[in-house]
Amino acid sequence: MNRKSGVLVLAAGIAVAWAAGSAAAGESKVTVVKAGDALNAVKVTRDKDTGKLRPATPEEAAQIGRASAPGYAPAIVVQSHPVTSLVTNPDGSITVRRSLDDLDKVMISRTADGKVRMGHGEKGASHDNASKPTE
Amino acid sequence: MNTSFKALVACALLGAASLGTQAANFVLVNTDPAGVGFNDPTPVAPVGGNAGTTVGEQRVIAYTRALQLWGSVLKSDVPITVLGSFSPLPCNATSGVLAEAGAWNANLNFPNAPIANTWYHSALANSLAGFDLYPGQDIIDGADIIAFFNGSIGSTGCIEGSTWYYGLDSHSPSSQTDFLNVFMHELSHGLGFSNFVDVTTGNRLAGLNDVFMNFTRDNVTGKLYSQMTAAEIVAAQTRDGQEVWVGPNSTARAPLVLGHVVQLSVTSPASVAGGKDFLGGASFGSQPTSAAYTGDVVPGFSADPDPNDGCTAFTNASAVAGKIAIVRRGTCGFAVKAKNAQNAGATAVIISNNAAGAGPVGMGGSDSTVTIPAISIGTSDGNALIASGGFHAAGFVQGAQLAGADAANHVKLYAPTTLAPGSSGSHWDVSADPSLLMEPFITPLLAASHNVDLTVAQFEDIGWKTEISVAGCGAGSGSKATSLTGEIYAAPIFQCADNAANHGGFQSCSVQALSNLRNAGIISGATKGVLGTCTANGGQ
Repeated sequence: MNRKSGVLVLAAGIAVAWAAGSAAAGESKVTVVKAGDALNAVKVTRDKDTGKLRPATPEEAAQIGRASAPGYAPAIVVQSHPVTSLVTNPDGSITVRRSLDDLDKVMISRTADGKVRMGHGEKGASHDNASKPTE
Repeated sequence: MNTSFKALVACALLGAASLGTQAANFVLVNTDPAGVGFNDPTPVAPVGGNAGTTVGEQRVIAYTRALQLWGSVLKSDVPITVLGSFSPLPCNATSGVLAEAGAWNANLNFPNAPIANTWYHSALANSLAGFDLYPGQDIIDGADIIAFFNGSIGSTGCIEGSTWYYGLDSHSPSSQTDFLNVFMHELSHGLGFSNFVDVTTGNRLAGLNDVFMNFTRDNVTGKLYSQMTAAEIVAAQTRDGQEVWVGPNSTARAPLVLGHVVQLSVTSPASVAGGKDFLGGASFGSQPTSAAYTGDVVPGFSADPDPNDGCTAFTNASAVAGKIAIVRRGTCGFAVKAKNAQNAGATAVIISNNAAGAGPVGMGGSDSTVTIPAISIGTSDGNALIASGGFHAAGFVQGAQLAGADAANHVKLYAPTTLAPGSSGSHWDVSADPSLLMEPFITPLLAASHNVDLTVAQFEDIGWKTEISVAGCGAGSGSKATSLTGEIYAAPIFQCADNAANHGGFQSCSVQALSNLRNAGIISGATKGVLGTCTANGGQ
């Protein structure tokens, strides 16, 4: 799906669901926008060679569809910012559009003693043990 | 203090805040498909103040609460858009992705940018500019923050049995992960608590500084990260205890939030007397206590190249028996040294670091037969104490320095000696006490529903305008949503509550604490009055 068609599909799929409560003066208001199934029309997979996220091939998409999990992340999110890129805005300012691979990842793991650990980064959940010297 | 008393105090504080205008509004984009994640129709019972009756509803409510909490503190005329999901993320029986989050866009050289050629997280940049700098081609492209959470956690094949807790009260059972705490942490990264540096190379985002780097300083070189080369950044990031945040707001408020370091008290001989920094938390042995470290301390000797390394059986076991032993790091494992000390009859062991200028170190290793406690001290202190031939320890005492800050009250940033991508540089250090929301490890002691400790101050340092006024005390529709404003004064008030023997003691302590806040310019006289009333009522 190219960018333009993706936008069109997204626009068609969006429906404002509800605003969270009726905020009083001075309170923060949260509006929830329910984007709908359109965002998930294209599946995403992590490339085995590069380790990067990319749109799935038709064969991979079919495989994802058969799996119990509906996919990694909304495809349009990945397609929107496939790689880190710069945009110069009309006012002269610059925006960097970050990709999913730039984001913070929190990992969770269960150790042999049954305890659950959490930590940042690809090795986050095991980091605490790994970083503590034994001698 | 008992839990119920503390809860009363908390309630009083939470009810105290009522905000003015300009609170930041959020747009949550639910990106999940029908029947999944935010839309999961599985029935559940309401929990911890979350009235949702389906899994999906509870997720939306908890997610929304976190957004409201920050929105009630931060000022912005530009709505902050967050892409949210609870769809499954990669996971198996023993490990998985719990969350993926961060700033989706960043901006530089925008109108009103405080520092030129410097990246700002887009939510902050928009707030400073007063308009949406990059609306993007669609709501996805132009969003400010992404925060995806793994909705499969706890289900079959994905860390089974360890589910999310969607309550809003920070009272999650130990078997569950408190979503509000985790999301408040991740959301804070997206709002500005992170740098954009590639920690493995030291390279800047597009070759330019970010605002976080302008307040991150290496105490060894005295340089800000914004002044360093990439190689210097790489070197600095593993100088444990030397990387600090020099933002003025965080520094000023650190004494209001952080406790003081606990040191080992050495009372004689006079040549080595004084408080010594130490680290407990060894992965072997029993928990160190002040009582266990009260008594005579004797250097352990063994027939090794370094006679004090404790790597073989002690040759002075008769002198060590019944006393505390001190040995030096090196040659063998920490647990081996502790076991040899134990075999010699020592009641506890102190292990000195051995690298020049190094401080105490967290000690790993395992030996289930080690039953005595072990602590680590720095090289300089350790060498002097060993050279003294023996000394007397008087247990643990409170030191002058703040726990988690340097001598100038600059809050330490996480910089373990082994680089931790994802954690190093963009978190407070784990030496902070009490634990802080933006430490790299989420602990059960956090309570982001009503206390985000120093995070607001850090936000102010990087340019966020905040709202901390207090207009009234009592429950109301916005009382919980505005509770974050309590963060600045919650910590000292909680300290009063912890230490008070009765309500009178709590009241006199909190009066003094509020005076300190007023004198520090943190709260107004009117706010002090309101809070005084609230704490008085809450402590009854």
